Amino acid sequence: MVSKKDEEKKENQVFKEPFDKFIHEPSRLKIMAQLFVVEEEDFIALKVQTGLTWGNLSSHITKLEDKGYVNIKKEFKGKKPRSWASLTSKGKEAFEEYIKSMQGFLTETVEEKKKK
Amino acid sequence: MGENIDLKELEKKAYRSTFEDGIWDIFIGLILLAFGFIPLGDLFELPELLGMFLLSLCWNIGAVVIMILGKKYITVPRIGIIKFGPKRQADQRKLKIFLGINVLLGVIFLLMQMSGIFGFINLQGFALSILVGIFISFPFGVCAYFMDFHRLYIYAVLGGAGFFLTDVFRLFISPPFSLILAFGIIGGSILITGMIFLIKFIREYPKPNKLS
Repeated sequence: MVSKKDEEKKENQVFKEPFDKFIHEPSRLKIMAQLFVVEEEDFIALKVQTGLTWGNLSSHITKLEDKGYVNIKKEFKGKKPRSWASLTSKGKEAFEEYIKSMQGFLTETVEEKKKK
Repeated sequence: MGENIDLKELEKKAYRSTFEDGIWDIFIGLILLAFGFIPLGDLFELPELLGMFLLSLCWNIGAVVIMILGKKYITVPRIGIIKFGPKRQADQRKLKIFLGINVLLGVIFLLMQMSGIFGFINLQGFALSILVGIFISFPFGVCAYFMDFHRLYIYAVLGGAGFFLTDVFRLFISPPFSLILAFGIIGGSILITGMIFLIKFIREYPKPNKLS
């Protein structure tokens, strides 16, 4: 006889978020992945490499900065401003964790499908 | 490890985008064209080697200026700046050291040549062309490796083949036109390739608006 508590636990395990939903959003995932593979890049490069619009890039990078995943640095060369973005150590850890979770999740799913 | 492969590809894509502008191709094309113009050093009424040296020095400085200005005013405003990770930075340092040694060896070689120290070496014809070709191809090949710039391997071979091609042309055309023609074809074709890349680049990446 399976108790109600066990059933709830099983259900929670099935519907548990296997990875960081905040990073999983496609635009944020693109930004995080791009910044993960480089040391830092300016906003123009980030826009070109991710293919996002200025509006999208600006809104998501602000969210990532608020979360403490991305560090924004502004500098002036003469009168021209240049904004640099890089991952914080918290951001790097979160992204590595996200990758591990995704790999685990996908491996499990494939293995389960093979068993069936 | 699908994600790892994708991340590597992402880094490579970002890195190689810095060569999409064709400015490196234009720079190399100009450098190789300089070999063709070497005989025109006689026009300065200076000792032969000094005239050649001054002409190629001025030409190469011009090529460097074109590359720096091109990167500053064409590439950076369009695709921005990326600072890559420690491995790429280490490769850049190794490349700088290699190029420094190469320039030093070049100057020593030139001075030795001017002093006539190589007079006892009796290499002529195609053997000499092949030897000089190796001296040109090798540094270009090493640069291609450290820069991870694949087109540069082809340019290394083409550059190395220049003096060999000069000897082939010498069978039909008298010097210095054989040298001018050989390096004109090689340098010119690389220059045109670079210009095609540059036009494609400018079309593909318009200057972003001031919102940035």
